Amino acid sequence: MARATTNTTKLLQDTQNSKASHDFAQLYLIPMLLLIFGVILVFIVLMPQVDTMAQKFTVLQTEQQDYDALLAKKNSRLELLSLTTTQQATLTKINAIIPQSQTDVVGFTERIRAMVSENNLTLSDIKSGEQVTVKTAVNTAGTTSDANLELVEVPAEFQIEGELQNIRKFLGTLYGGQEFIVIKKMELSKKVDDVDVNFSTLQTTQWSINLTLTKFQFRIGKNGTAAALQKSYFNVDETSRANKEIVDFINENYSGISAQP
Amino acid sequence: MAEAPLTQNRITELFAFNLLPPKTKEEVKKDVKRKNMIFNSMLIPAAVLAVTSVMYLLNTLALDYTIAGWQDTNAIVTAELNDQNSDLGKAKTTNGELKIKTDYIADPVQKNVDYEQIFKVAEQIFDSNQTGSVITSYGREEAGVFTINAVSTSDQGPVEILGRFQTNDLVQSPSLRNVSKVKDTGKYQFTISFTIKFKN
Repeated sequence: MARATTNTTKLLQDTQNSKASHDFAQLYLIPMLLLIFGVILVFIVLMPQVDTMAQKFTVLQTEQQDYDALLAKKNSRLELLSLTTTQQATLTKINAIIPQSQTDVVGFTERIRAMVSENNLTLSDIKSGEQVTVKTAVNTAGTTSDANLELVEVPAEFQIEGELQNIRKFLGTLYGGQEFIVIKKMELSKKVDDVDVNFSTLQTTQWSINLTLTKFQFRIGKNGTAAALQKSYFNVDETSRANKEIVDFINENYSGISAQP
Repeated sequence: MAEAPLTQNRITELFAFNLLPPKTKEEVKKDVKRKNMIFNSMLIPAAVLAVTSVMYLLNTLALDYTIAGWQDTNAIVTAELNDQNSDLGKAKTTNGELKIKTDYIADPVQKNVDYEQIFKVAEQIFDSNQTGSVITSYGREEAGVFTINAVSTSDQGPVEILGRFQTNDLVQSPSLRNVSKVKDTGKYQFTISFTIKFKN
């Protein structure tokens, strides 16, 4: 009898447990499945869209930054456009005094000879030197780049004699002339005779000057072309500006050279 | 008693019975709760899908369109800036040529000095000196350094002249290179080297 009662109680308990489980499943199973589905959708559908959107915003931001940079370049270019006339005038002067062609060495020495004569001096000797390439690359905006351009020196040595005042006038004519001639080396000394070799009197007025004068020319580099040279000019950053000291020197000292019509 | 005719209403009335017992109040409450929970849970995936759809539309319609617009604009401006033959391109070429050429000639221009300045400086320095110092020669070396050779009647001459060079505004880095006594004359020969500040 007692055994039958125990069995009945156990059966009742099992039935109650089973009913509670069934109720819980009936109430929460579908909402939980929907929740899981929602979470899966977040990862599979929503996140890729968010990622795509973020990437597109990055692209958009980059494009806007590029536009700002291009606009800044364009503004610099417009600023350059307003300077072009002045820059062109300076360039004309530079191209006139340092031509991009074969320098007329004979003409150069003849012009010096004429200057010597005009200043009542005597030319004792002339020696034309070999052309020397002195510069083949330029450091622009922090980077050394081959501009397909070479600067070439054309030196010539002169031995001239005369009065100091005339030599000074001659040197002044050289400096103030419309030709860019640099005195590379100079030895100017009083002419001493045998009697005065120990500087006993220094009364002589005759001086002797040994001059190494240099003219310059530009030329396109051995492996360069005119088009490549133009490209090199074009590739210089628009914010770079010419050395003001040099531009001022050119404009002040070669004001006689004007732009070609 | 005659039987009522078998109409549709009658049939419904005859068979309107339920074998299942009616739901208890608790069961009805549970049902409502269950339905509410299912409905609320469906909102989550629905909301995800709605947000995704909006984002998709934003991506494809608004953002792609805007990006394409910026890219077109940038391409137009880039093409304009890269055109060497346009006015803007020519202005850049002119600026570049001037920049490169002035950089190339900077050294020669720095060395191109008005020699009259040197003579004037030398005259100023040697004028009325107390030691009878006289210039005997001028020189310029390839590095751009100027030299002046002079003779003096006193051994104080080189020091006096060097001191005068040091106080001159146009002169830079003056130095006394050598001093020697000229045999049998009691005179002192000396060389001073210096550079001149670049001035147009």
